[in-house]
Amino acid sequence: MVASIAMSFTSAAPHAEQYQVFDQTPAAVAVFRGPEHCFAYVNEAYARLFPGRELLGRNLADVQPEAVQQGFSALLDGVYQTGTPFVGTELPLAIRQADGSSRAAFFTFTYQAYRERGEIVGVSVFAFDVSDQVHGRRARDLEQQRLRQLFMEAPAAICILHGPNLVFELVNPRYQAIFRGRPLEGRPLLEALPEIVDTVVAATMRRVYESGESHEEAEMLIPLVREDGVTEERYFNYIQQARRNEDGHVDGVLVFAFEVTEQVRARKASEAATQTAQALAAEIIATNGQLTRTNIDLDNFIYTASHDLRAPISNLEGLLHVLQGELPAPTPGSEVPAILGMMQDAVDRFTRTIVHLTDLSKLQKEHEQPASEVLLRPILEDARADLAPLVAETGATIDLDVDAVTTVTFTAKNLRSVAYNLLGNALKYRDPARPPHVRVRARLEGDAVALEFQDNGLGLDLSRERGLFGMFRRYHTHVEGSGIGLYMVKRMLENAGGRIEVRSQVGEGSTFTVYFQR
Amino acid sequence: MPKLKSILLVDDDPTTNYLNKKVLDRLGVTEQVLVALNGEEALQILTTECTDASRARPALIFLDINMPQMDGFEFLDAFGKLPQEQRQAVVIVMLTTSVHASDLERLKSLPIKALVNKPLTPAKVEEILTAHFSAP
Repeated sequence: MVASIAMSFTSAAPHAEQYQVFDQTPAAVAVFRGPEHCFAYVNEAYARLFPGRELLGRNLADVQPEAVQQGFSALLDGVYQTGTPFVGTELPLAIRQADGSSRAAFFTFTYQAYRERGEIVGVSVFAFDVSDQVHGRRARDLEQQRLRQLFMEAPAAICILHGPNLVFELVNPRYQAIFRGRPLEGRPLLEALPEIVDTVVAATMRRVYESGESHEEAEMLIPLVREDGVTEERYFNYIQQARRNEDGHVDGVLVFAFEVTEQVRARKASEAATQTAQALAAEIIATNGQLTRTNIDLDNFIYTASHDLRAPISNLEGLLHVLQGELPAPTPGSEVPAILGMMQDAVDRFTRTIVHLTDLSKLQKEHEQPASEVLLRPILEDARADLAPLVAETGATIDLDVDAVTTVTFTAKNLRSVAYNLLGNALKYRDPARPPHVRVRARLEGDAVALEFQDNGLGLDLSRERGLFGMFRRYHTHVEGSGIGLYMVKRMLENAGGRIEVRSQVGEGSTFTVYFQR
Repeated sequence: MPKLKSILLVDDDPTTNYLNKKVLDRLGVTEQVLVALNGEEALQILTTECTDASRARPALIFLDINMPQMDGFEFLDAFGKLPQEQRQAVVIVMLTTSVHASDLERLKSLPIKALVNKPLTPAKVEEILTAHFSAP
């Protein structure tokens, strides 16, 4: 249209009336006259391009220096001289504004020479300001660029599949990385990844394409073939979305996927570990239950056995006495008295053992009783008082240096037993060369109370570790005792979460240290 | 069967030793019964007999396990380290009240000829003498 109007225009002389046609047109129209390109006519649209400037009657170079700078003046010269029209498409012109700023404008225009009497006398300009178009397109291009960058750099695996065959149109690097070494772009989905055929993934993809509705999956197991041909189980969270064209019809599918294989594997490993731990815990609980029942059975057995053994042994004792009465007076050299004495000794030992066994089983039954905070000194004093006869007989001294600790967590009865046992041992296993001296000391050690019984008695050769604290173990045979005392002491302490230790030097004495929980 | 010159009883319980001696005396199988109350005393008897003419070296030892000072196992350990001439021709029989599986295991590697459950009876003594002191 520009060309045809311009053509009809050139054939006639430029008269003011003719210009009226262009006054209101949205196209910018101007007419130059002469080699200096003097503005002979300017329509409103053109004038608006250069607000605040007087154009009519002025030369281009004077009123539009930017046109000269940016090459437009040269173009006009060319057209004026050669008569060859010039068509410019979207050429830039930076127009200086009244406030000094510069507007970047774009024009699609023609320069056409016109003649009078066969001679070129000027150039007409027919221009459209296409700045908006160009800017718009540039903005769109920039947007596209940004989008593409986003797409490529996204932390998700993204691909676009096109058409009913779901051809890979675009694949971002992360998506490609999942299928390292396998060509995707330009190939149909089922051809590029044949292992997906007949899977849920392919089925839902098709459904999305056909229905336009998105589909989401979490932790979908997708077996994929690695570069080396090995099939791996991999897990993905993904969404398949329909892509629509301008008409709103579905023409492709977008896939956004996150690989979660590591998380799923870790979670499964953790679940497996938890299950194993739970199974072990159940086993331990079962075993504990068994052990507890066994212990109860044992304790019941000990109690019952010792109980049932009392009657016959008591009978034996009685019979022994009767026998002594019935036998005639012993002749000199007779071994009968010695034999009767040995029988009585044996019966006594038997009885003592039964008593200790009974005590032991009672101890186990009492084990369930809760311990409380008991005052230390009074109980030790009681134990010492219980031993008064032995203390007097041996000339012993027992010092209680226990004020550093006021209370311990233990049953009063058991604490008295422990003290009685250890003090008694110290006196029983005294060195005949010197009067026994026992020093009891209490101190705090971390979260425990340490109670030390130090004596100056015979001492023990601990290098012969034969289980000092075992049942029926005796290191010295000349002292009355069935060897169960220390065993009981140890059991009592360990039942309450404590322990007992011994240090000793033969000929100098022993130190037994018991530990209680505070 | 000729009488043995000497039998050694090793047990910490005097009554047991008394009873065992009674059994041996009634059987009349030995000229002399020696008694030791623990392993250490037993070793002393074995090693000093050379100098004491009235004490013949025991040809048979009945050895208890549980004794203070030096128990049965410790005695056998020390016995194994004695010079050859003090060890030869000595038959050691262990006497036990218990037959714990763990004890049996230990006994396999020891220089004992037999293991006998207490109490020692005439029948058991005869059995041992027949097994280890008969002429071939």
